[in-house]
Amino acid sequence: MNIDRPVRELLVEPVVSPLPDGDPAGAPRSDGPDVRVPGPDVARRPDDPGAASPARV
Amino acid sequence: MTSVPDLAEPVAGWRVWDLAETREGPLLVSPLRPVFWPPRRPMTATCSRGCAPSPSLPCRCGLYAMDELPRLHRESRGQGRVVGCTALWGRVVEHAHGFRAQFAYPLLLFLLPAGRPGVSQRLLRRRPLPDVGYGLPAATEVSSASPAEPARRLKQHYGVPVVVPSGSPADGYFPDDRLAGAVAAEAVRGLAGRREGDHTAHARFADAVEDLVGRRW
Repeated sequence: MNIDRPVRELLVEPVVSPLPDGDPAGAPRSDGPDVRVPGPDVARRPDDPGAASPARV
Repeated sequence: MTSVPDLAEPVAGWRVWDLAETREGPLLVSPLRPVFWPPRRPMTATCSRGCAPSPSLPCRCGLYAMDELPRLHRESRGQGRVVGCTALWGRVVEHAHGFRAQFAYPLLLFLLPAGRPGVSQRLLRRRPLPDVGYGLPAATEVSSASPAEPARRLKQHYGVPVVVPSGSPADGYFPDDRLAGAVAAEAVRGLAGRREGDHTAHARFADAVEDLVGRRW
């Protein structure tokens, strides 16, 4: 996914309720894994059309 | 005081996922890494290089999304089983053709018919997702020929509209620019409504999506 060059940084206000209202499952969920997104030290060039950069999720 | 401008309006972008099946339900998985997007919780970006918060302008970490659905279709080249519009918030780096965000959650998903396994599906076979209480690591590729049942379960698990397009691969499955833009606009309007305490905005958004895609599919 080539999104091209960075333009600017934004601080977008938190969405009050981004998630679906209610939870049909009703059960509390796990906090999930510690998802680590490797940085560009293991990434390819951003203009590489075939880049499967592990920095991107 | 920060030099980063505040943006009151929500941001929405388009991206792809693979789909992994678990005992608890289907999970959206990044097409690039065996990292899943948790259901009913925001996806949060982190960076092993220490960007705090992630993303930062000079780095390339973050949750990626493209600005336009047709552009995503051209760029993804058949990658991913699921295409969707996702809300983006927190720190967001705007790019010429998309975004990198700190937080994200899908707003609308298009479940495509099963095709060849994506990158993450191949990775999953070698390195299953960790057991995090979802009944994992029994994550396997969703390979049902008919997407109707996976779509129903995906909708239930993530609580967002899931549309099964009836178009052909030759059509690219996706609507044209105008229609895709309208869907994203409805997504953003729904988010804005909820920010203002309108708890029916989600239902109205789902209805609007159905109206929009119903004209096409």
